Amino acid sequence: MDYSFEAIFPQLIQRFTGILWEALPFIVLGALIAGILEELVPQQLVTRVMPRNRFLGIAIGGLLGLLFPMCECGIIPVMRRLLRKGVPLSSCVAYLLAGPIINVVVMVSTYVAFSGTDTTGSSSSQIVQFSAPLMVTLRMVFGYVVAFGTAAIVEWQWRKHGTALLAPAAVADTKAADWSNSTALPVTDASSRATSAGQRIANISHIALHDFIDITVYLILGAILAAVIRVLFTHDQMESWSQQNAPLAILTMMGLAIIMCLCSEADAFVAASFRPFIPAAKLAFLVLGPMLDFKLYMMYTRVFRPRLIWTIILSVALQVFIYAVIVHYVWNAYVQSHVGAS
Amino acid sequence: MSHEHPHDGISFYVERLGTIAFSAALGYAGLKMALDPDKKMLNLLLVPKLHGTVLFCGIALLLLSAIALVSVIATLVAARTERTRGHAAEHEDAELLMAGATASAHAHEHGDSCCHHHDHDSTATSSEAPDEGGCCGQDDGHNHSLSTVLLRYVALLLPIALFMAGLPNKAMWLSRTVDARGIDVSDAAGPAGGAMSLDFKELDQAAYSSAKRAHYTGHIGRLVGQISHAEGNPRVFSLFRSRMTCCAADVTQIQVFIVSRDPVPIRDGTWVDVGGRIQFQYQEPPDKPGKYVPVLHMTDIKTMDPPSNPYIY
Repeated sequence: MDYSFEAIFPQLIQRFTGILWEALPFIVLGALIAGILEELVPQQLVTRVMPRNRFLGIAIGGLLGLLFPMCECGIIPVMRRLLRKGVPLSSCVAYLLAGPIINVVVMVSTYVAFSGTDTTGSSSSQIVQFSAPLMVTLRMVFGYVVAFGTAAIVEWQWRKHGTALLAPAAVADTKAADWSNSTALPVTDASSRATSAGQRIANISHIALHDFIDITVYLILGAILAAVIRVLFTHDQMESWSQQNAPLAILTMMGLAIIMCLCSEADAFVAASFRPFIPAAKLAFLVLGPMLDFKLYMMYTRVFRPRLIWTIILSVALQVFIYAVIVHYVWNAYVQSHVGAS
Repeated sequence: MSHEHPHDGISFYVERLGTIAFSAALGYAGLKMALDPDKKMLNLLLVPKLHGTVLFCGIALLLLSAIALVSVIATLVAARTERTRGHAAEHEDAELLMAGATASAHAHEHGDSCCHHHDHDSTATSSEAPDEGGCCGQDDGHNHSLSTVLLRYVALLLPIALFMAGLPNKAMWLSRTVDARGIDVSDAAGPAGGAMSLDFKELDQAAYSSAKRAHYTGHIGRLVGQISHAEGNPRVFSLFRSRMTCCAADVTQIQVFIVSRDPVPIRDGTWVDVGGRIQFQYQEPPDKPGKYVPVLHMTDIKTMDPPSNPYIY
């Protein structure tokens, strides 16, 4: 591995800029939606629609991506504004984690990426891959389960610690909402006053730009981190780390998912390109990636305090690992019992 | 009165104009890259199907910045007019100045876009300084840590500075050691096939399927790529292309082994056009798992100029 300046510097610049410009349009989209949400959706509507039961709220939060599809970068500004509108933190976290996976765009791209997969065990490898429909289904199911589990833990933490979980910028986001008594919401939020269309558009622009710049700073820091790590560890190194040992393969793909900072619309193509890996490892990559990577971590620090961040990280990582290992052994058992597959 | 803190009023507008300026700068960079007919920079950064998103990003940011700028100017002008006319309506004044903030004196709500804090014992104050985070942070509302603000602007300047410096401007060189141990250099025995167009991606994928391997084996074709010398086998070198799946961060190399009768005195990284017969071999280096790899038995080789876009997608 050539670590000279001439080799490293162009790589760093290109990888950093690539990550940045891949994510930036989606952040703009998310910020725009956040602005529209803030300006046009009255608070009362949101709290009327959200169920009182927190776990039902989590269940719904995890499915909101079907209504509001958004990739993992754009979802943070939207989530902050939902929090501000009175959506409970646990539901917001469910949306934050599951939204980038459980949406139509990702379903389609995952299907397309894996539709060319050779699902018969070829003689060069005894590994039988998932078919495209199976990979899509497993990704959605486990994405939801991990998000639900993590959001439930967050709800428990919220009941213990309240707004101490949130960074100062986000604490104020929640102050406008009073969840204990939904009838006592202040009626003075912007959307309830009569303002001209021009004023509304101006407001949306200000909010959108503010949210955009706010989170882009963290995206930039995360992209730098990801580019540095990516330069230090090459693709070949990672491929060679594990192809036989299933838990190690899964951990390697999980590590890759964190390092690679891909958008969930397109990460399926990258996962599919790791042809020799076991399918459970690719599944782990596809479930963990949209929930956790370096740029997301930096953006989380804007909204969450360390306790909450590490709660989320540990819950997500542990669940993904455990479920992937289970899937691997169950799949192997299934394949063995249907020997005609190869 | 409406301007209890003139200093804070100025810093509020500076922050807002700063946001607009950086957004517009990023938007301009995105737009310029997307409108380049050769897409020279974008090709190094993103796969073609994502180029449209950068165009959207550029247009959206510039549009939003324009609207926000017009709005700021309009409120400044209106505020000036109000001040000269006297403080006839404090609430209206505050509303004009604080886009999106509530006019109610007892509102707990934080102005969403301009992030002001309202004291309850006074009428809605106008332009108290937002904290450096740009959104309501501390209750005192005067938390303008200069170093944090500067750090944010330095971070935001980075992509803008790179764009202005014209970076990146050429493909990455990813050096790697290629292990050619176990490659059989004897000429492939087997049915001779006719000419066929060869594609790096297809060959890479074909290695994993016996049916696809049979489709290609024995045929003659040409491949264009970059040279990289291999270890462990003097008559074998590697021909590779850099492949981008999503963006520059995931660029990897896919390769074909080239077997040549004589050593090839061409520098690593040089672009070459190689002709030969294709086959697949099961390579099993001593300490690594085995897999099928494409191998081209070379008949001729010539150097060429680098293509305008080095990546394959």
